[in-house]
Amino acid sequence: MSSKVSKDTLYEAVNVVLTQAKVNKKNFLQTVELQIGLKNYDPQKDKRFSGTIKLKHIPRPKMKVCILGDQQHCDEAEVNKVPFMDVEALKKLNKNKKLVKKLAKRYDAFLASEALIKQIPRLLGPGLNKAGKFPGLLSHQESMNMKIDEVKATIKFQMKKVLCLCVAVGHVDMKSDELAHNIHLSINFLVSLLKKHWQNVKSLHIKSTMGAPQRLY
Amino acid sequence: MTLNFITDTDSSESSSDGEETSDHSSFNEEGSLEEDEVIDINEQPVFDSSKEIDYNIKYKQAFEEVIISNDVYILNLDAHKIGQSLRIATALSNFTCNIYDIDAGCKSIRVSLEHEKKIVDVKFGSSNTQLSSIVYTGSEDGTIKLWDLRIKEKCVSVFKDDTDAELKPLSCFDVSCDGRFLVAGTEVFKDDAFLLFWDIRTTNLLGGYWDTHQEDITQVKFHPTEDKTVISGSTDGIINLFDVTQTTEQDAFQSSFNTKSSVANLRWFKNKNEDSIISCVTHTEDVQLWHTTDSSPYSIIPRDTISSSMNVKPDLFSQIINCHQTDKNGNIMLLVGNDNSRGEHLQSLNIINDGPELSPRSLFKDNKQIVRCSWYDYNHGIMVTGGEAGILNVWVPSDDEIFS
Repeated sequence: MSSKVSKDTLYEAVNVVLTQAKVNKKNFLQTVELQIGLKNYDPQKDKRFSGTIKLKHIPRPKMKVCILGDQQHCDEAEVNKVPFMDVEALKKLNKNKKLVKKLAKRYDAFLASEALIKQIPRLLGPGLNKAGKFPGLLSHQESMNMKIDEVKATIKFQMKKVLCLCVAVGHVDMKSDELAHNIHLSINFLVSLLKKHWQNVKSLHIKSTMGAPQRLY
Repeated sequence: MTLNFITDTDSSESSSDGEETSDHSSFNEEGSLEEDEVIDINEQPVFDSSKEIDYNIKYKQAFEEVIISNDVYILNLDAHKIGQSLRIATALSNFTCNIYDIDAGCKSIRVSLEHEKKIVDVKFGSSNTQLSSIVYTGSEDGTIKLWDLRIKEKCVSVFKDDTDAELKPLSCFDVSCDGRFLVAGTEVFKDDAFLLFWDIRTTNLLGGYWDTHQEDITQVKFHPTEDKTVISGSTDGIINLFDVTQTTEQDAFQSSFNTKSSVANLRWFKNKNEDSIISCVTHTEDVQLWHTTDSSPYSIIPRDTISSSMNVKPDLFSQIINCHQTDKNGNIMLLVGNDNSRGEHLQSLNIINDGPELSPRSLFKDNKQIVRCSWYDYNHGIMVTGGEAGILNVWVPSDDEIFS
């Protein structure tokens, strides 16, 4: 299945977005999002359009990930200067709804050691689930930093009742190659999930938080 | 008719760009029409004859029924074998449910059961304790209706949660194995996604959970033999396991399984050691197999593996329709399709040695549609499929005399 967005069109749009952001510099890191408009799609009957994509270049570098670790992972986190909590710290929250909610709010995502992940319902109750932040598994066979990067590189997409979808695919400090790569990967993946592929795509735009949308398709 | 996703922060800056986009949009309308035609002309048969292999089990079509009205999908179905005949319930996208009795190739449409909104699932009564004359239909209109087929088109009971002014839109439901309880999952309703429980005999709402999912609940399943165990899955990517004999949600909540995706379909299986297995199909068309005691799936079958195991040309993507148990030992097969053309290519794949290795099992020749739902009986090898052209098919092994 070939892409309907040429390399030239993609790079042109990426460069406009990046240049715009350099000219109108803001005091925060602007996100670049991909906006997809769909057609010939009936949310009542067609399959849900929802899931995750792992990108090559981290779109949200400022994401805060906290390790809920066993002793070994906590030691490793301390060395790596990654925020962490051990069983004792979690016990102190005492299943208190407000405290767990506060913890969930403080971080964007969690990773937990195998020994801890099973205890989370008992230690914290459903608070992390409710916030959509039940941790991913961090095993001792994997590198902690790589796993954190994987979490940061994975983006969620979900279409609700309206026929459009926005996904954060990068930020304005990325190189144009990196941003173009992420956009290309996202488009191909998302289009592959649509029943009629490109015939379901009405429009594609990219846009930075404060910039104007650039049409790709 | 511009599709300009301008967020509130930048509406002032980009008014001129807005016009420009609208020009592009009208231009592209024409452009895309041409492209659509080109794609249609270029459509090739998807079957790759160079990959032709002997399928383990050959199938033939034993029955075909087309729903007359246009654009009606069969979204869900359930079936029940009674002696030589097969009773099938189909949930259609036009808010109705049809019941068929198929006996040696003769069919009779029993009844048509209705809801006010989309029917999200349909189930016959648990075979242990209830007759196949009981049908449950659950709907986005917020109700589960219990129909008694012995009394024509009679809705015997209605289950709903009327604790709010509005009913909550249901997205899935299940019946406990002893046929005593109903559970339903809802879409997010006023910031909460609910699991609701009813006593079937009294129709009383027993209670609910609303603190364990962030997004729409897409699946809820009672354990096939333990009444107390329920799993729920959501687009938030989490599968939760509950012990529903506990009185509070906190105590009932036993474990969570993070699929890191979005849950489309959950089923229970038993492997040869009698361990409970959960199969999860995600909205990104991958399959995960979980032991209920683990914190990561013991098998992940990615879409690429499934696509390349199908007998279709490369670069075509698979669509997973369902997971089915194939024998008493708990072996599992995937029923998979393909969107190309009208979705005619339909086949099953055996999961080998817990996956991700797959091997072709059966080809369903003469399929005419994108299949959306299926039912399989491993004792008789009968497969029932329904899909987007509104066609209901019954498939039997080709050496089978029944239904011929």
